[in-house]
Amino acid sequence: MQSGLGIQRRSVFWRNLFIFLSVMGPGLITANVDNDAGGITTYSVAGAHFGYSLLWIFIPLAIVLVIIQEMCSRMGVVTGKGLADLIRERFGVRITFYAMIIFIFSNLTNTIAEFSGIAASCEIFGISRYVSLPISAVLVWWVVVKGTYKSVEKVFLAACLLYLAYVATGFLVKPQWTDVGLAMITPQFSFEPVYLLIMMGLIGTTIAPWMQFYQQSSVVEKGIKLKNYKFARLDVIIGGIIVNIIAIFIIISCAATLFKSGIRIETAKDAALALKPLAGRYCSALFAFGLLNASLFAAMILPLATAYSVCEGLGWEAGVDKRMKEAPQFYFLFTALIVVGAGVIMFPNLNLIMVMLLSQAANAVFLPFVLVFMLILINDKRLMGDYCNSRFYNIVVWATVVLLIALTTAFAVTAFIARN
Amino acid sequence: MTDGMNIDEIKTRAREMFVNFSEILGKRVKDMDGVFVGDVWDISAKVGEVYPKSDELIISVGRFRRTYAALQWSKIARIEDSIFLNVKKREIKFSPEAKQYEFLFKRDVLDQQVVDTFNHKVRRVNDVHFLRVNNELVIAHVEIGTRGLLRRLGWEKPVDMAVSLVNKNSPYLKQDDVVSWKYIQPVSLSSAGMTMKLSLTEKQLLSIPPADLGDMIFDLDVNHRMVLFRSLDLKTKSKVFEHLTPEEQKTLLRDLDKKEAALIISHMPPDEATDFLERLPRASVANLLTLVESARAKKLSTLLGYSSDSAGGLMTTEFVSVPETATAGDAIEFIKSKTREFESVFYIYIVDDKNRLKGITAIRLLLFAAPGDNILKTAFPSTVYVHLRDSAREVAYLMDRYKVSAIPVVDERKVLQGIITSDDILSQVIAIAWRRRPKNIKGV
Repeated sequence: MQSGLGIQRRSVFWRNLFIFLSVMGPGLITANVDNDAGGITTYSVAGAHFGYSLLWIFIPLAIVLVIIQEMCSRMGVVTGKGLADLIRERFGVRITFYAMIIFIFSNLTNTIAEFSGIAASCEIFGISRYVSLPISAVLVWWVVVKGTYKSVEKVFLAACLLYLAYVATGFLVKPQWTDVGLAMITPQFSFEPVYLLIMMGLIGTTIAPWMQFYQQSSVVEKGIKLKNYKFARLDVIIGGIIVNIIAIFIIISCAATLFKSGIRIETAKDAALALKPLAGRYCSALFAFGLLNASLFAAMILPLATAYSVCEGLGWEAGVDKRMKEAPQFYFLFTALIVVGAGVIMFPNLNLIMVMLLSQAANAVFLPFVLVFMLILINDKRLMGDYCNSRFYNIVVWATVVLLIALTTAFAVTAFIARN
Repeated sequence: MTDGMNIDEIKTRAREMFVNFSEILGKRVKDMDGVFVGDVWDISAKVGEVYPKSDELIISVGRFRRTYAALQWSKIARIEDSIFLNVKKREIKFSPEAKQYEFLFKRDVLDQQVVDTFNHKVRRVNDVHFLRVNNELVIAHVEIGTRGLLRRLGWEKPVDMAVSLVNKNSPYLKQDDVVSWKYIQPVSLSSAGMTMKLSLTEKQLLSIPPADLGDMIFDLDVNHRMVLFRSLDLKTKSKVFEHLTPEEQKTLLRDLDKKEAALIISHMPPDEATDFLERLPRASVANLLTLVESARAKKLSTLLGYSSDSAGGLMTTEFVSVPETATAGDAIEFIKSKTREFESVFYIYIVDDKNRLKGITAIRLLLFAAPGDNILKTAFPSTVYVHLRDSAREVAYLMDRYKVSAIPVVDERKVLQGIITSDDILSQVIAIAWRRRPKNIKGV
């Protein structure tokens, strides 16, 4: 009965593939939104300023990213609730309220980064930020409130294929792959404040605090069942690996072009030069288009996800299917985030690259808070039953918390010393 | 002032009768000698009463290695700034694990989502008001408003002051957003499993209009959603299902087993059921219809054959037709026996032996006719109808022009196929006007 078995195995494969395709999404989408304006900028700056020397960070980063995202999906699948809901129910209103204030602040800095990405990319096309920002802010608000976001999501996702330009460039520039490989596995460290800042940026942009909330909500919304959980995990792993591969290729491209010829990134135009080997004189347009897509995509998701989570935690009505009178706090928060996010960038002569970089470093400061909440929740037997964290997971995530705090302190201290 | 009390005093007395749970949670517990014993952790109650009463006080000590102790309510001497016990500290046994309780006020109510059957919403509880009866606490209201939120943050007084500076008569100061416990359905899951504690009778849930109930179900998280939905009877289930948006229907369908779904579909009015089935892939429609009772399945598959914005797609097969030979009395008897489960009966359609439409009459006209009259005598002077392939626009135009609340649909040979009621056409017209599914618009 050799052939019979073969057929059976085959049909199991197809069935599994089908289940995976139906469960897939949250991990991949979160991963792609992760490569937002702040992400592209931070990776570019890291490559242009430090060559390959920060590449080693991506192996541990990928592991931690997958572990953290996996924890979120697991909590979402097991409890059927969002992270903000769980925080409220476990820690009470007071802690939730202050956690939400930090959360809003952190997401505001990220929203600001998305709008600076929009401004920077439009400036490459020669459009003034005083034109591009109001238009994009209204566009973002309108698309989301009118409930058409779901239909544009696919367009954004498709446009994320533009990142492949970096992968192509990475091969075109013919780097010394042995050097790259060596840099991947040789940890290097420097107490130079800029180095520490960019390191914080890399961590903060790859594992942004808002992603945990977003990931968990998407898993809940998708209604993934416990029995299909292993497929959701695969989704997270694939997403996490894709983010890191693209990040690595952005760094390789920038290191092989900008770093080599001593160009430092001051404006988005400089960053675009990394794509020159691939796109020649069209590199600026290609880069600008990719950046615009990434920024708009994230600018739609971030304020919406923030408003949802905050209202969820504080027990206010939320949702774009509600009327403004029914959910005033929700609409206020959502609108305020967009208005402030776009408004800050209108400030004349603001260094957009710096804004994007700092916002991602700020993520690394806020991340430990989120992780501690997650660790307490996921180890709560009453909540998670048999799906609590393994000891290995706990050790990795606690170590991440400690290292992040240490890194932030180190940066603060060295920056203070350097100033004086 | 006969009893010597002024209004303010009455107000103060009334306020003293109630105590906020958040205040109790912050209190220290002291023994009969005033020695500190522990902090309030939670309060348990017996389930089954309409207004649960405090049963045991659970206290805890230690921050990292917390230990717990449960105290019978009779051991509480008085509740003041601290809670004083009438026992000594050494008599109290602490253990590292709290006892298992069925119902705890903090765990199951405070900060949790509850179903508010009075306002038809899912709420998050900001505070709980207890009524003091002798020494005992009886749950009275839950607080859902901003003020309760601010109180727990410790900002009530400053915000009150700020608001009264702006507007002394602000409604914010006058009223607390509270809901009586009798309208509250806690939905917390017990640690044992996924069973919902139904402290309320389902009657209260059933008094909620199905559209609101559907909204509420979707405000709950996935696990609770199914538990609440499953707790409804079949009729309510199909009513709720009918009022959901297409996306919500799909979400719910995913969690239902096929048999349950088929049952719900067969209990929906045929036109609503077709609306829903139309959006599903062909394979799953066929799959579902095999589980639906055969006569109903046949009807549904016929309706599915028409495009959704043509008269054929809009119509329902739920109507009353009587043969042209019948009398007015026959017709009334017929209506009484057949139409109990119909959405609405406005008109009666008169057909010949080949089921061809001959005339239309109304219940009102039948009631005024002599029982022995031939039914055709009661018919309207003109018979307005539409064809299967007529568009929704034409249907709406005709219904408006002749001011009818339902219009019959016939095929080429004038054989009666179904009727379109005004609410079906109204949702089409609204959809055209709003360019959006009408069910997404709340409060219209």
